[in-house]
Amino acid sequence: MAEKPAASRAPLRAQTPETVVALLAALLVTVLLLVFGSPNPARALRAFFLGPFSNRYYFGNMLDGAGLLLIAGLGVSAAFRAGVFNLGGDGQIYIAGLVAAVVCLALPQAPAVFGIVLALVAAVAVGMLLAGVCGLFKYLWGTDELITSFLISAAIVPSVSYLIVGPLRNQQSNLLTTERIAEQFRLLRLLPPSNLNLALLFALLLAPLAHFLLYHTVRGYELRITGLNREFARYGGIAIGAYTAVPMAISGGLHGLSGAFAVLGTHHAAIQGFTIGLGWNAIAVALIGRNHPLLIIPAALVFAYMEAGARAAMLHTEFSFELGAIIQAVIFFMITAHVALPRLRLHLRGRSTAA
Amino acid sequence: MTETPWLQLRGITTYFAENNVTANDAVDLDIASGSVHALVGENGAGKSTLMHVLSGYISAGAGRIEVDGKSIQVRSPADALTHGIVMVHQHPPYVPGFRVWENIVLGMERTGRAGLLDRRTAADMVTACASRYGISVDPHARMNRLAASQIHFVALLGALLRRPRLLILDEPTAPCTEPEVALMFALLRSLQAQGTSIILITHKLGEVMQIADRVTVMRNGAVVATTAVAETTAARIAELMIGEESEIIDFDRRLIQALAGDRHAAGVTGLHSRPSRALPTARDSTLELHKVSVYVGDLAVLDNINITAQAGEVLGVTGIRENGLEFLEDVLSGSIAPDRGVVLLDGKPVKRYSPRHFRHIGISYIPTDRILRGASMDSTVAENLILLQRKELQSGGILRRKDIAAFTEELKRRYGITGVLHQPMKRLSGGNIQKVILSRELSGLRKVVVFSEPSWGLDLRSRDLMYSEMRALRDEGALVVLISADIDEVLSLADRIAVMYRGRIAGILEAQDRTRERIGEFMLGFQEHNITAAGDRSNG
Amino acid sequence: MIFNAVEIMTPILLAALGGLFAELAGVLNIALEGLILAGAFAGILAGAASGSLVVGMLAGALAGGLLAAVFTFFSIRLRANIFITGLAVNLLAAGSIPFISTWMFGTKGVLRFPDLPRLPRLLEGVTSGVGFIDSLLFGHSATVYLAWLLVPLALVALYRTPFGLRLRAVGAREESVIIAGVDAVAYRRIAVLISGVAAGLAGAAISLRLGVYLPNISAGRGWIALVAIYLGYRHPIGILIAALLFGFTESLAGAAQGLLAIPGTVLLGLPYAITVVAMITYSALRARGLRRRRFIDAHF
Repeated sequence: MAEKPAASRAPLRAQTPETVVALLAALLVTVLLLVFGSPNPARALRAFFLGPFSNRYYFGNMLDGAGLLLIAGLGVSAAFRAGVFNLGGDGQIYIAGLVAAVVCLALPQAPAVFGIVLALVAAVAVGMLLAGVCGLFKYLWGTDELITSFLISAAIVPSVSYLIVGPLRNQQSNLLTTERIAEQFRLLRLLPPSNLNLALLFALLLAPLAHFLLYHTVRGYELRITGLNREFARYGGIAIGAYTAVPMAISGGLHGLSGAFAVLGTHHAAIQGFTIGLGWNAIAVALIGRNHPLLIIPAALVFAYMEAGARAAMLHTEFSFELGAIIQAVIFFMITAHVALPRLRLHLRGRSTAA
Repeated sequence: MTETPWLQLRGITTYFAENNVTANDAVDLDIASGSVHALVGENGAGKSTLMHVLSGYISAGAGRIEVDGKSIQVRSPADALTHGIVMVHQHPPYVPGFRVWENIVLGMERTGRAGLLDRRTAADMVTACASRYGISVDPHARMNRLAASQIHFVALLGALLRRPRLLILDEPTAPCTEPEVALMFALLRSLQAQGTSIILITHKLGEVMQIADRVTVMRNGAVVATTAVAETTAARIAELMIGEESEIIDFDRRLIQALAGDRHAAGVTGLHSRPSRALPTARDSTLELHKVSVYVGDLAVLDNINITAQAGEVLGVTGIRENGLEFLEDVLSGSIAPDRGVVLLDGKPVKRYSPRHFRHIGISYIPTDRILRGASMDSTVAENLILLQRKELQSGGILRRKDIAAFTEELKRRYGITGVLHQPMKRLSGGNIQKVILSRELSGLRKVVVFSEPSWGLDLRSRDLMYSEMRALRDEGALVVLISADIDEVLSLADRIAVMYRGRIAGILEAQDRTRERIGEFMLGFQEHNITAAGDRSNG
Repeated sequence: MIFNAVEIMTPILLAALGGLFAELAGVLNIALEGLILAGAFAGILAGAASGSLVVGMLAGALAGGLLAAVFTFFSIRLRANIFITGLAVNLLAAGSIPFISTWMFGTKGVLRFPDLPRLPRLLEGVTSGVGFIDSLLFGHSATVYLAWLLVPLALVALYRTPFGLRLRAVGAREESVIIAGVDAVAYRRIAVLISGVAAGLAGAAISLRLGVYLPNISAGRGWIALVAIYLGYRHPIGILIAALLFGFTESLAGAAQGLLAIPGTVLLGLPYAITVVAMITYSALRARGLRRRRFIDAHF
């Protein structure tokens, strides 16, 4: 830790209060909703706070969810750190999940490693493509990547759903789902009967790797500089065009990876809407973790806990709506707000101030 | 001074947390009713900041403002306006797409039927006020078609229509021609006759002697002296601005001592030793601008520029701002490509106009805009320092931590950067920011170094360090280009001086015939044939 | 088909006209989608409860305005990131409506209001003799005419009033307004509130016309409106044309659906697809026009 550059530390310290306030606010809102919205507040609260720890199944599923969030959250911050915004994570995860499932279903006899690698590569490629083109358009014509990535994602989600419930549907199942992938492609389960699997370990390795790439390599340095001040990066001879398109592609690729693991590790099939919301949650996770690869680990855990708690609360009471979006909303409102009172008010910045 | 002055500032203190600068340090100022009060001082002395506080544009950290002996609150420009305090800024902000009348009436619009803008009355009002003071301006012209001086006059008109009791002018004559200056001064005199007080921020001491009743000199954020103009001389004011002569000499000596100490530590001879990692200085380069033109719309902001500079010289380029210096800076740094003409290095045209390529072929560059272009304020000092050497400080794409630490420590020590390497850049003072940029730019191949407004906002010590670095570079055989609107800076450093006027080189002065007066004539276009060109501007 | 196009474009036009105020004041309001959703829900609820469509429209506008007030509180008062808070508004609308719906009606799904009066059609039976003009101009829902009325209104408000002058100045060069003694922040806040009210109206126009509330009834119209502002060159007339273009393309695609047998689910994504294609085309064409731009990007 002594070697860790202060570049990441100094701004983080200053932001700690905002993060804590945002999380507390989200918790408070959740509790209020449970108390006033549930016919049995005591049970709902109990389920919310203790549910994720009540048995191996819930606990494992929470950790599994954290793993997927961690990967996708790293994806969100890959773009953020370069100063671009991938708002299409939800669709990228969803279609990548379907692609991974299709690859596995197309090769039922293939050896495990071959099929898994191929599925992962295909899923990552799809994610990279979808987000990468938005970065490319931004670079070529200045098209706002925030809007294009969202629109492209929103445009494909219905088509993915159509494929799952239509041509690719498993007619034997009551669920709207594809066939289950062959045994050999399913990642090792770590805590049966829960969904927890090898993907979590992979995710936990990915975060320090991302940290290393970001803080200890020239390209990571260039990416961060570009994200903080494009004019300065250009002045320093950094190819800012590349750092617009490539981080978007990386971001999409990581979202794709997350989608693939949702199939290979968690669900073993592509189910209608099975990852919907994960992309938005990942944005919240990246923001809670201040886009710092290592801090995204606890951020993913905290968020997965809140989500699992909300799910438990809904299962245990007649509470039947999604808390997820509201938790996200509260976090999004609070996380970048300046809670402390504004200090010296400056209308004017830059050159003429010191003159 | 028997009665209480009309306006009193007491203990005004302004601190900028962003760059850790105290721009005003307990400033007191008295303004008599109906007087013209000049405010002078070097760049960064705190004049504009003080006036921004008075006009409500920024808030002071401490101090109070009194009018007629009563304390007033000035929290916003709106507050200032209600007390009749109006400021015309150095670069008056305007909406480019708006017409002149729209820009002027902003905030004091008249409405006619159904609450709609009364355009005719507004335009008539502007025309009437303009003709009363002999200003010619078309109220329906678009702001972005106006020359810099015309924009100043439009801003002045807007101020006059607000019936000021105190009119603050920040360098109003900077973009003006001689007749325009005369017009403006006549206007100020008639305002004064009507009882309006005027505060005039200026660099031109001739103007102070000509029009002001009293003068206040500021230095390093504090008031050095206030006297009646009749009781002083321009020379005395200049002395007060720069500081005592002994102080300068003493400073030079301290600097030399400091550098000499370094030499022993580094085991290098020569006064201006450099970081050991630095590449050698090339000794035979030439830089040529051949028929370079840059257009904004159909206006030539750089018009057929031809200059050649040799290794071992400092080529100074000066002029009044908005006359092309900014665009020359951008062309010389590869930030923009000329629409016509070429830049040649060592006789060969440059292949691409990008900062990346210019750096690659050995052109270093210290930009005017240090905050936006020269530094990444949210990155650490160390990260700012390694920008140009990042390729040398890595192996296999991985940054070598130890070498980076050694490299940045070395730069920090040599250039006397005060600050922590692992803290964000924004914690540094203006002088230290410039030192970081300077040390970084000189850490690479020192072939051609372009300095643009290198001393803006610097204290004397940092400024002198900058100057001695520049001279040392030249003596080592590097080619130095100094772009600066500060005549004295160019006079004291440059071997040859090119003066720009309206996008052209008005003249190039060799060592023997450079005087302030000669440069001034070129700057104002008196040595040019065509000074009537109206409707041009240099800022997009 | 033209008739349909006009009906489809109406909420987009309403939301885009409001969004234009925010845009000109310097705020890219990505919360339009959530604001429309809030307006749609509040509008149909109030409309059904009161039995009055006017009350429904007003309630929609109010809901949009209130949510926009929350938006400005966080983004302007607390200086939070405007994109993140914009997303928060969208999520808040999408998350809290099912909650309220469950609490009030016991379902978070489709809400039917059989007693709701039908949206009146105006100028029915009027004809100019030319079919194309007839379907463009006559017999549309009342909300269509409301949206059309707002085009000249926006034009006058933005370009002929002191308010509009200041608003545009805030977006173009904030300092020019500040030194004139005007509270620039207040103008930005008002601009966002206007866009909230307009988006709320747009939402109410959708749900009151359908007579039912469906989950995600806004179906991306907020995003389309956002793009329409750009395509319309940030001008009310241009936005009218852009909105018509979107309406026309969508109704054309709807018609093509029958012929080509495109599954209905896939078609849900169509408005987004059309919008993103339009946006990319627009920016590509614009970039080509600006090829001689001064400050080149170094992309090597």
